[in-house]
Amino acid sequence: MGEKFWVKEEKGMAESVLGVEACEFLITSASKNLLNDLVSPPVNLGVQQGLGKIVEGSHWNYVIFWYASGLKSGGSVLVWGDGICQDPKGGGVVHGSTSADGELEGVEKRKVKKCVLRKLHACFNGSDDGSFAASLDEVSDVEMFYLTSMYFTFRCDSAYGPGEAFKSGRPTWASSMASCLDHYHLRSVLARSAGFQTVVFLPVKSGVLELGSVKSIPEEHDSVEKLKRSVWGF
Amino acid sequence: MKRNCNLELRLLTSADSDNQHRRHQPLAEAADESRWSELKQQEQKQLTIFYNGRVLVCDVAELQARAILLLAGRETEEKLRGPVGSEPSASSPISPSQLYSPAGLPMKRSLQRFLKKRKNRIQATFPYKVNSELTGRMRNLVSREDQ
Repeated sequence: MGEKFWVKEEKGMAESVLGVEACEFLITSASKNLLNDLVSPPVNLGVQQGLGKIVEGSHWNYVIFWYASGLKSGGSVLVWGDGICQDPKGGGVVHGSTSADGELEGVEKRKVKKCVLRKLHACFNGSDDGSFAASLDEVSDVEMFYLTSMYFTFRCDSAYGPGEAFKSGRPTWASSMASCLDHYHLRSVLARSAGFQTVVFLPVKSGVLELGSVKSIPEEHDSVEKLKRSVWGF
Repeated sequence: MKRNCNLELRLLTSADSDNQHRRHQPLAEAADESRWSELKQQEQKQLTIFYNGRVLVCDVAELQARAILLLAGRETEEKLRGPVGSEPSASSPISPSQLYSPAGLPMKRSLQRFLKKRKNRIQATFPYKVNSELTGRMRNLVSREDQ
């Protein structure tokens, strides 16, 4: 069970990238085996094409479909269903990627991001598969946010983010950085590094759609309807 | 590293349903030792197995390969079902990893898609295999042109 145990250096590295609260949450979450407690695990979601329609040619840097399921132990939770990441600065193509504040990113920070991703993968996966992180040199901050999000879950009685949108049945649309960070909650450190200025949580059939962009995208009267139509055709 | 593999196959028990038995008949034959060495004479192809952080390479006939895959699949299924009524706890050594439980498949799929997309992007930009120092210099040129 060494993979689930975090030594001081690993924790320090993770905290520098994820923030203290997100790090604590993920470490605790990894040991809880939540995914095995789901009443109806996500299978054959069939949303990939719809998500693609939302993202292609748009200013959205990512879209995530959070899948809602009851827990055998009580309550319900949102877990990773599917997603797409679209970051022109990502993909390891541009050397010396810049972070949100325009500063040139050091070799150290890139190494740390790679280590953290590898540790998270090992922690949730139960084994250290070195080959996973082999291709993850030069992960951009947007990509780091996206990849780390996969390990998050949200209780449906939460006052924040996807959980709150699911509970209330009402969409959240924040198009300023300050407002975004509020809604990102535990992921706000990652979100700030990525430089997101817009975040949307949209309750839909069987879950919540989350979208984010480094640009400020104001909500229009039919924005929400257009998004829903893209994925579910209605 | 190539090795000659001596594989032990479990025989099907009489508790198995008729349906299953019918489907697995060829494997019951394969479990017979003499038939097994017969198979070894047939055309052998290389099989690479990744298991528990280790890599094994061996030469097997097609039927042997199919048998291995089927048994591995059944063992994985049994592991995922897990002991009934057991308490999930942080110190349980047998609990299946979350990523490979059925609920972890969406994460795994998204991850694979992400890595594949990245790989395609990098290959599209740098289609020729060059050493990493040269790639670094080329990337510098690209980013400078962008500025």
